[in-house]
Amino acid sequence: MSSVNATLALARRALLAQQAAMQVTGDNIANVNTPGYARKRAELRESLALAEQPGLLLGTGVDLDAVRTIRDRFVEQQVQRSMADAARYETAGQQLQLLEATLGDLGETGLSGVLDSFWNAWLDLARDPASLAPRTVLREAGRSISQTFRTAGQNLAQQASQLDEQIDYRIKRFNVLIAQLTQANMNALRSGVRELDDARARLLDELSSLAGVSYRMNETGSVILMLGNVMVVDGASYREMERTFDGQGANVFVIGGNQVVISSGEISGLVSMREDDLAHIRARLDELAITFVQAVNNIHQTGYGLDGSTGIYFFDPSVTGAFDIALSADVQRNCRCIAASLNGDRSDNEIALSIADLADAPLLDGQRTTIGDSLAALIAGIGARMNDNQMLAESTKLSLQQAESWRDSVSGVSIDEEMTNLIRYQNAFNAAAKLVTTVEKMMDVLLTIV
Amino acid sequence: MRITQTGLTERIVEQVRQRYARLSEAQQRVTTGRAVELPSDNPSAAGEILSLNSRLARAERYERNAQAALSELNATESSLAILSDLLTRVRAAAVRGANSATGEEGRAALAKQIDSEIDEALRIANERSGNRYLFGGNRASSTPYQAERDEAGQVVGVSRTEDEDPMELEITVGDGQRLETGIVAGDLFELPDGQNLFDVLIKLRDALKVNDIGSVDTALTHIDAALNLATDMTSLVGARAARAQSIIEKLTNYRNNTANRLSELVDVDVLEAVTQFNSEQTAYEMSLRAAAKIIQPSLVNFID
Repeated sequence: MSSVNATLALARRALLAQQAAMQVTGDNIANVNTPGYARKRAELRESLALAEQPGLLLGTGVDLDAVRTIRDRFVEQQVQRSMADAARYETAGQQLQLLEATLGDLGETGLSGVLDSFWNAWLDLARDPASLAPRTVLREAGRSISQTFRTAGQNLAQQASQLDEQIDYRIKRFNVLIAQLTQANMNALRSGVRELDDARARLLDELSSLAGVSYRMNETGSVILMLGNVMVVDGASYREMERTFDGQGANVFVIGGNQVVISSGEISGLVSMREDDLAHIRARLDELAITFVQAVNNIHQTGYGLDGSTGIYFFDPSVTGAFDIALSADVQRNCRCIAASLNGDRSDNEIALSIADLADAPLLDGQRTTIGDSLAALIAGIGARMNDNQMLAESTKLSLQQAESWRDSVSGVSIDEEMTNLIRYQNAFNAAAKLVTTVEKMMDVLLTIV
Repeated sequence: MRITQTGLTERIVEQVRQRYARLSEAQQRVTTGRAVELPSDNPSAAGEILSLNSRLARAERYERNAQAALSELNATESSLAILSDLLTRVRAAAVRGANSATGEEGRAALAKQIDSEIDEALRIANERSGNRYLFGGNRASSTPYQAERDEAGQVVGVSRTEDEDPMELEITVGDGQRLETGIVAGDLFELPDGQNLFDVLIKLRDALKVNDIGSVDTALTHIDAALNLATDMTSLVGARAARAQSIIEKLTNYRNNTANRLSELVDVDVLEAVTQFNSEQTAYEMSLRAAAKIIQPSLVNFID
């Protein structure tokens, strides 16, 4: 037979369960703006019924069975994959923007415009080969093209070294995160959490953005983290990533002796910039600068200056790339030694004409491309590359947004929903409290009998 | 699908941000007046813009060169006209000197005239143009001809200054296209029959002085040859000047066309840009207004 006390105990359990459910709701409301928070749900379950006698089961109320985190593993992985892709193109986009800032000036102050001014200054000298004035102008044009090449070369070199720093920084961060993930695995094991908790989910998000990792849960609820097909975190142990270089100076990433290929995430964006775009552009610009200096010098040294000097180089012939191109010391000191004449007479302009003709001379790619054309192709190429990347960045960002809103629709906190639950649990709590007062009245009645 | 406040807010923020970015782009186009500022604005146009800019600057130089060549050729033409006049006068004097009716005194007077014409011819040969000699070609920093004078100051011989023949000076007026800016003295004063005009004139003067009519006659045929040569050279220079003129016209046309094409690529269609700016602005304001209405209420607002 049931007892009044049993009913009171039932009411007590109901009060506790509804209050716990309210606390879960409160937790959800409190965390409505917390990034990476997945909503929790109080799972209430009917308490174990007591069999009074065969065929008669009397319920004993409600118990809080579990607090479940609402998370869909498939959606999570979709988000993380999209994060890795979006991060790759966004990082590359930032670097391309730097590149464009260095080389993208289409006007007179850009590399192409300054080069034009330089060639044209020779045409001006050809018109008045015996004068000093066009030589002073020409020396300035020479300084200006050297300076522009140098600045571009130095900016590119600086960008390359910054890229290296950024790659290093991200590898360090990757190693810190996998150590934290391992720690979180152990914490979860200790507290018996079998599903992915917020702490590990956040770590996995960041790891995906960095290097496009993948993961699965093992039977004890630990995260097994993979990069490509190399294991990085195996429950309670992890292996750090190291950065080495191959014979050509290209990046090689190694985890526990295995070479890994990083094909998405920020690191892959940075590596592709360093190895493909930036390396090609730097090599091309250096080739251009050296070809340019040699072509001008070769003609210039066969001519005669206003002071009768000959065999003079216009640019310093020891140039090794765009970043160290400079006027020769002779021209720097005295612009009278700038040669316009081939026969030694001051009024001859043959050298000036020949150097101006270099603007149309196919000097590159096996005598097929002029310096100006290949410079224009280089600059336009950066623009095209940027556009491609921008399109990829936008589409990957869009799919990330879709995945995130999908995740949000599964795991996000809805205030309306929580408020409804709050009222529901409050009503249940009030009703359970009413049960207590009713039982109390019953007790009073019983006691007055005595 | 469950829609949550956070998700909705984030989406609204992202959409407003995108709208604002497009508004800023539209604003930039209106303010700068340029449709292509950086290669990524229009990669296919960027290459063309660079090459058009190059060609435009180059064509401007070619035009200046052609103009310089034209002014040199014009100066040469007027010197040639003066020389032709001189030769015509000399010829008339020689004809008079060869006439037996002219007496000894008359010939002496003609000899004096020829003597001054020799100085004039020398002045023409060594005419200056700026810091160079007009007929000096590519060795124009020294005088083409040098005169040798006796103690009375009379010219007794004229010789070339340079050991090597100067070449005509050229200037680039188009890609791989050069134009001669004048002619060299040798082509004008060294006659086809191997005589030097100055020697002819000196001989004529001396023949008139000593009443040697036979030599005056010989000189006359050389002077005819010199006149022919001067006429040939005048038409050569005239042809070159005409070429310079037509090159200038072509280049002016070319520059205008190129500048137009460049403007089509680079410059913004103002009407279109302003219209677009306005519509972006409206869209931005609308999205803000909608966002302000959506973010506020939740069930909280309706529970007492």
